[in-house]
Amino acid sequence: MREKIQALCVKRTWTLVPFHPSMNVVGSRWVYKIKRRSDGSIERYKARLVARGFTQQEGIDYSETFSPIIKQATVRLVFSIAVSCGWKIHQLDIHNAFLNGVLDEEVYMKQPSGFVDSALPSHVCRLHKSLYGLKQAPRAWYTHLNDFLLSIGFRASKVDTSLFIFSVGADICYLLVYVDDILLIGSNSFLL
Amino acid sequence: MGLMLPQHKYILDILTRAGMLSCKPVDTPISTSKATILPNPLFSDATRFRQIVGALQYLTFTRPDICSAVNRVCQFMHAPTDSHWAAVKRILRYLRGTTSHGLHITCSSSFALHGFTDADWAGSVEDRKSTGGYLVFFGQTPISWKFGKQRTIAHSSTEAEYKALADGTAEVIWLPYLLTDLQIPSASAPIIWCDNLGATYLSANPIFHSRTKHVEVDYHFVRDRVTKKEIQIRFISSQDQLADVFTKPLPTSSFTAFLFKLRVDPPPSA
Repeated sequence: MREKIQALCVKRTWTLVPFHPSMNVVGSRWVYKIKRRSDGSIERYKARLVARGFTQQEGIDYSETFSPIIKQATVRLVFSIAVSCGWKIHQLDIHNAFLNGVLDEEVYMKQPSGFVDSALPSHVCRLHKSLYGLKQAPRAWYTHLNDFLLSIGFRASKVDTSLFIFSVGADICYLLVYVDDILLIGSNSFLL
Repeated sequence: MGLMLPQHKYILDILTRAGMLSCKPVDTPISTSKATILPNPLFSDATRFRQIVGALQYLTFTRPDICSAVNRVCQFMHAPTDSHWAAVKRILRYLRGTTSHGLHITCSSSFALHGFTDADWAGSVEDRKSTGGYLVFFGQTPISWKFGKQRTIAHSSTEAEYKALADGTAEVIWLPYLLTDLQIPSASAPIIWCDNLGATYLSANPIFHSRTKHVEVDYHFVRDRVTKKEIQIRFISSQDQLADVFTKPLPTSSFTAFLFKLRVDPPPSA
């Protein structure tokens, strides 16, 4: 949990601001999960701070929520190409993926329980980065990832927006995004 | 060689949740005996039904073999009866026997797309709507499949098949665009195999006008694409029709043969 708060601070997820009655303040909760290895033994305890997104109001706290997801057919097609061409498949995982998304709207959240600032207990958190549970969190994350990939030279597919392509000469590399799970497949392992 | 996509642990988790871990396995996911329309008592625990069926939907990603069975029970999420629950248990018993089966992606020499479409006319006993679907292969690997109840009632089996053909066409039109984006040179125009002669004629020629004039215009985009030579539509006999497994319950012998063609394989023996 302390680790999580640290991650939140490092990424500058929020700043404390004085409460104003016009704000719609969403609650927050800690969600705990025990991560087990495949044999059932405990690997680690995981804590996640989530915002109670169901108390958000459309038009004030969020506007667009749509976030694309890769199509199943695309995944199988790319796998099939990779197998036929003997290409390598890599899997990537993004830590605290949603915390990278930048919020366009002004969203306020109560201070997380157990970590209330003792000097400013009546303040609320003005969120800068998206938090799990917010209605627009997946979209904010996708937009952020999309901007990043395009900036480093990837090209988004026109027919499946969760597919990104990078090509240099005859070599090509595909990047498939399923929220925070990423598959990287390419003809040249050096490129990957 | 190739890549296996099994969902072994996921299947075991579902079976555990349903308390069916020690059930007796069966060979096919759907019973071949005719469905009854007798009034059936509502299943006592609808939430449990929805949970299990919802979990099964995620299994169809790697298991085209249970796609149609899952779709059948999904149609009754709002008010499941005892017989629907029996159908779910049948799927679970089938899965018990095939827990480590998975989609086998093999090395294909050709990058050609070909699809199969099929429909059963007025197959639904409740509202006489037809069910249809398609299955698209890339080389030897099935990459895209869909099966579902059609939205409108078909006057004839040809019309039902023609609608399934339209769905399949939409998919094989989309996939070459994707291949272009992936910079994979596409081979010749995709071929769709359909086991209804009437529907194949209809895709080439506006004949049978008096019996098909009510067919909605949007379905006729099939004919448009055929004229533009973007797809080819060919006739195939019902025995070789791979999408057959989606539209009707099959006996064990033919189901096992389909399983092999759908590339749903047991893990390679060590």
